[in-house]
Amino acid sequence: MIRRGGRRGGVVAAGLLTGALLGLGFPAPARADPEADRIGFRSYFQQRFPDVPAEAWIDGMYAIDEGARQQWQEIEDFPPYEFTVEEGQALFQDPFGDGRSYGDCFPDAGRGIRQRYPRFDSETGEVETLEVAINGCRARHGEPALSYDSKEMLALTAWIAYASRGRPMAVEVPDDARALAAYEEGKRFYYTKRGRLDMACVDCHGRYAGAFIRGDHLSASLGHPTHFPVYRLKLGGMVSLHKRFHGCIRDVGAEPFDEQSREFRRLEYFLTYMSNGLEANGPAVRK
Amino acid sequence: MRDVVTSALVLAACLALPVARAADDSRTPAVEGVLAAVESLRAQAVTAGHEWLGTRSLLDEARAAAASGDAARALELAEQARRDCELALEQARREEEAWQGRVLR
Repeated sequence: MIRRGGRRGGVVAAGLLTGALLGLGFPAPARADPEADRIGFRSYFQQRFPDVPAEAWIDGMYAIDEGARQQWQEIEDFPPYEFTVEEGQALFQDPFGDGRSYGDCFPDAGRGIRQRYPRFDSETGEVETLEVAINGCRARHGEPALSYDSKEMLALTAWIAYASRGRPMAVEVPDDARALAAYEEGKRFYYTKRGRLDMACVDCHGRYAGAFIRGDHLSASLGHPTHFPVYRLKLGGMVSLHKRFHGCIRDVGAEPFDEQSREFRRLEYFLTYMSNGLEANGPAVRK
Repeated sequence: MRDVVTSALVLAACLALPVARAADDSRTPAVEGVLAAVESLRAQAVTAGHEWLGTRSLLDEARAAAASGDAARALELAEQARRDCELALEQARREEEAWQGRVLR
């Protein structure tokens, strides 16, 4: 009897504990909800800048600085990235040593694929950016990896971006715990203060978006990933999104991560998801 | 003449002694231990993803100072690097939760 009673007591105790956990205010473990985040993210910028339609943010600070926008549009008449795009198209079509080409790895001759990257690779359990996919393709065909900031890599990504213009960004975070964790880590990176200046990405490109930094407006994070790689006038060359991350992290006095590091790939995953629905419009010109 | 030369050599040796001793000090377990302890703190900041820019070069300069026999300079630079690392780790601990308060919505 004692034994049975004890057992019943254990069952009752477990039931009470479960009830307490479910119903008495114990918070359930937080589960990433990318779509709720995206709606909140966009809503924030909409409230801050009610006169700027969300789709205008693909042009960065030119969405809010009319004078700079006019100058930029004149530059875009003869875009300095034009030769890079042509070089990228030629590289894309060049056969590898085994006679195959990038077209064997990417559908539709590279047209209309930018908007799907980065993607979650369920085989590796990691975020795959377009640059990683390009090197993966090369590896499968016996070619050496390209350096992430090489002229060839920038040309290839510029061509793919160009050939994907107008497609709405459509990054997916599948219902896979590893994908959700990768997304959440990218989100956390974006909001975490770091470095000697104790600043987070969101400080400059969220809370202070639109404010002046020296003579320029700070751009909003919304729309950032739609237009890379960019031709930077101050550097006189093409720059990848991760190179830009690298510069920002240095600017706040933190030791930057490498291009295509796990940290930066996950940050790109989060940021690009936030821009889902906006048109891909790379490459672009930026100061 | 021979006595004069001997005296001069002894004097020169005495003058050189403090420099030689400082050089020895810079390689003593105390200085090496400080540098190793700060390097360990830096590794923790790296693991936390919060290493500050410039800390590595401070430590490199400290090692170079120690190697050149300037123990005081080595310890001064190591102290600056240690403070950097401790602040970076404090930042990492604070940000464990604090980032959630900045989510845009």
